[in-house]
Amino acid sequence: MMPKPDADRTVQLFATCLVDTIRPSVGLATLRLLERLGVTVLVPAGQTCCGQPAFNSGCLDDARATARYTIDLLERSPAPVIVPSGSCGDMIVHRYPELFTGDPIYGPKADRVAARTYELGQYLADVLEVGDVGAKAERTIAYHPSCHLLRGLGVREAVPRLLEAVAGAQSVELPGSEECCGFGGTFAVKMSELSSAMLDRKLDAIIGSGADTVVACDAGCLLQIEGGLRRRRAKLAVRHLAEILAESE
Amino acid sequence: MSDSREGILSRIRSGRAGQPESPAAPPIAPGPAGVPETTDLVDRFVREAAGVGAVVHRATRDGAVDLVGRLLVDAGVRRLVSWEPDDLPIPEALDAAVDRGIQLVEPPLPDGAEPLDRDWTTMAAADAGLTGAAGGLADTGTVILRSGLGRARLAWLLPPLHLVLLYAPFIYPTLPAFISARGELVGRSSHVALVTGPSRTADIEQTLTTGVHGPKVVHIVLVERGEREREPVVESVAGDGVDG
Amino acid sequence: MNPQPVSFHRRISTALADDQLRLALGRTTERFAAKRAAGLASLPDVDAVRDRARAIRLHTLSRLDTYLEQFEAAVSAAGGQVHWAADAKEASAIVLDLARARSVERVVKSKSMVSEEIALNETLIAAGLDVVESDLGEYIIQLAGETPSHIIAPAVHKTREQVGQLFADKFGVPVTDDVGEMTATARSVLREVFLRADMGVSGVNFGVAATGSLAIVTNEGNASLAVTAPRIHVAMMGIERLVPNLDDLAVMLQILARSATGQKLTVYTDLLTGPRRGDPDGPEELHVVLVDNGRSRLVGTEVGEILACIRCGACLNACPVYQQIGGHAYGSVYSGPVGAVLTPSLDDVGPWNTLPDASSLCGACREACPVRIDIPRMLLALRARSVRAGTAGRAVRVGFRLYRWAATRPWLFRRAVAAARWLTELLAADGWVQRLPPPLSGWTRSRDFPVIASRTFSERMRDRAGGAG
Repeated sequence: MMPKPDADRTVQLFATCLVDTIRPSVGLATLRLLERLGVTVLVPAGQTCCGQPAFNSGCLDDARATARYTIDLLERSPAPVIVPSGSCGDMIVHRYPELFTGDPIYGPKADRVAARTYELGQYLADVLEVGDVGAKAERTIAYHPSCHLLRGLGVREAVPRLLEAVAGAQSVELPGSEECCGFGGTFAVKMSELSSAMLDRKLDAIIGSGADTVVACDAGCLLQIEGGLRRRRAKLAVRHLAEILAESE
Repeated sequence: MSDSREGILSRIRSGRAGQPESPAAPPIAPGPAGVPETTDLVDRFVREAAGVGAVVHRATRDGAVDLVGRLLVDAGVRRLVSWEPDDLPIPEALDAAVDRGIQLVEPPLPDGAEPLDRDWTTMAAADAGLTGAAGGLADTGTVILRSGLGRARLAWLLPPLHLVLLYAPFIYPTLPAFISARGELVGRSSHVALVTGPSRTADIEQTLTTGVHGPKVVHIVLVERGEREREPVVESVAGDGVDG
Repeated sequence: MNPQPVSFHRRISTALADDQLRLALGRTTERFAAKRAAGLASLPDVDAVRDRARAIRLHTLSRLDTYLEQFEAAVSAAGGQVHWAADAKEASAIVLDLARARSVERVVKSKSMVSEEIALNETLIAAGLDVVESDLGEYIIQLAGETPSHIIAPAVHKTREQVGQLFADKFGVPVTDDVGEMTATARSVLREVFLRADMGVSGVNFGVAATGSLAIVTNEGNASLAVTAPRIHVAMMGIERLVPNLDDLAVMLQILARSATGQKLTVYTDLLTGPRRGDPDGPEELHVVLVDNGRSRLVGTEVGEILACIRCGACLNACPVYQQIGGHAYGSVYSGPVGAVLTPSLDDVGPWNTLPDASSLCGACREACPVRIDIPRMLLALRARSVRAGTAGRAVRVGFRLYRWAATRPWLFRRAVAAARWLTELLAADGWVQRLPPPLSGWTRSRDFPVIASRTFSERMRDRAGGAG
């Protein structure tokens, strides 16, 4: 299950602010998983946030300042950037070049960083071309594809295939799986009633699916879903893809 | 002309200034080389039209004359509004109706009538409308009707039953194919209608109901080339309801 | 577009608490979405057709002035007359003047979003004209004294039971929940309206610049009757609704119905070119009112692409927010994702700057849009506009300035995280916070919030030998 041999597989991990501060286990799992697959992982020191919260709130100057900081951080190494988050990955891949259109210095830098940034599942499937990463987990899994992974980065089949290959794991269908969980960053606070109503629908589907574990590729969705499940006192496990794939024999 | 006109156009021009023009879509290629066999087109048309709730009858020319009379009588039609005989693919079809005692109703503005004299009372009382068609669309089951001197629009709109005669060779594979071949008809008639099944609505809870304003029943008599000597052939196909 | 007296947040709360509304919405948006998917699947090479449709719309917009002039000339050549209206007031005045000059008493209307936008009915009714909507859904809400809640299904918010009761109240017919019976009642009442009207007012789905033709689609046939029986036809049309030629029209018609209702083609697609010319019926006069009302200002701007919209409603049905609250909560004529872009764009002084906030940016609208309009990108542009204009609220501006400082200074970031950790630990029981203080209290309305990690990922990495890059 090792990826295609390659002389030098070095990547840099951009963990994202939510993984950093709320769910470090996702960063650790990503690290373990990639290293198990023979990849050398650099973790640039001083990383903070991609700037998405400011960007999504329309504070473009603040978003640009944060993006410049992150771009400079990631430009220190030419290695591919791995992001364990669909929405932060989409931010770097699609929105960074947009933010710096016409900027003589950061325009080209943003394009370069965007071109070598991958969401984790995308990197495993498209670059390493692995299907089975040697994971083992006795779980019944419902997969929630996060919106920006699905419709932003266009990663549709890769993650379910990775999950299928996990030894001992069963996948169940999640009705309305492609519907948003209602997170949406500041939307969850600013429009909390709407966000809660959307979450309710997602939770009903998750609980009704018969799964014991819900998996997503975005710490934001996990925060939303886990917070909601806890409020309902539902006993499902909530895991990031990396956490599942890092579980092994 | 007006200030508003100039204001609108100049605002658009200043918004456009410096923006590249987006390229035009290339014209639609006239029918691809591999246009399906005529019989396939007819079969497809029959299937699609039945699928949207029309009742389709396939008949030879001779069979069609008799069929029209029979369909009208079977539906209990007593008053009929029709296109002029010369505008029907089979002028004798109208005779067949009259021969069976069905009364013809005049359209509201027969030749020479003053426009303000419109009187709908007689026409509104018609039980059925009889028209020809300028074409059909195989992929949607659509009939194409066009207004003109002897061709009243209300004949296909007002009565609860619409009976349309369509020559099978007039069936085109798709709307783009029809427009590419016969687009000039659109400018020539002031009203060209693409009619796809009976009038319907789903405005109350998405529940499908037919005949809300236009006809509740549409019969399409598809006239195919038949040998003179052959027995008139009639075959009817009705969809088992309207699909979404 | 009249400002609503209550705030958007209030309207959202009201909608979310309305069980009848959510029942009706649930029943319909789901069906619409499923039919749309099936309808598009029936088109061979659907992606190529969508690309083509998008190219047609963007091309038209990129030389809209030229196509408008060409369209005007072609309408005139066919015997019709074009009127230009800079704003809603002028558009309504044009119609009223036409009606007065021709002694019109009764007007029959077929559904038209642009008429709603300019509040045409109010003007005509205030002037003493008898105005009746003929689309069944519009007729229902006119009877009920309401406004449409969906572009193509205006009465989507009403259950059959509510409609049965309404008809019983208005016409003295027995109460029924049989949709067929209700439809028959509407047919007989409206039949009289069509035949006695002096003027038919319609919308326009597409105008064809090369021929001056108008394409108008309905399933009921109400537009067909409204533009045929009365002696005057007035077509209300947004200035952006053009296509260059008939070939282009054919492409647009292939995707319009499929995206709207999943049908391959709408039951009645009427292509009208000028008034009657010796025909035994049809209107004596055709007037096309070109309505700007804020559109021309959008050309070439970052929201200009919204003018490519063909009003199919697919983005509404796909939108998880619309599915929750329906159209009325938006408070504007155009609702859902397209409405959240169009409304504040057309009316930039109105109270609409919170509409673009009602999106999680999930992108379902962009995926559903037959001409692939990037609605989320435009919602973001409008949010940025509010920030620039200073209408976004102090909390947002100050909050993100602080965020920026922290996110670009690792030492400050660590301190901010430490402060958040202290706060969440203080508030938590069992590792989770049940109630956060404002402005974050919205989160804990329905969700617990975790305590900040005792050691962040970065802190752990600093200890990792050779890991730092």
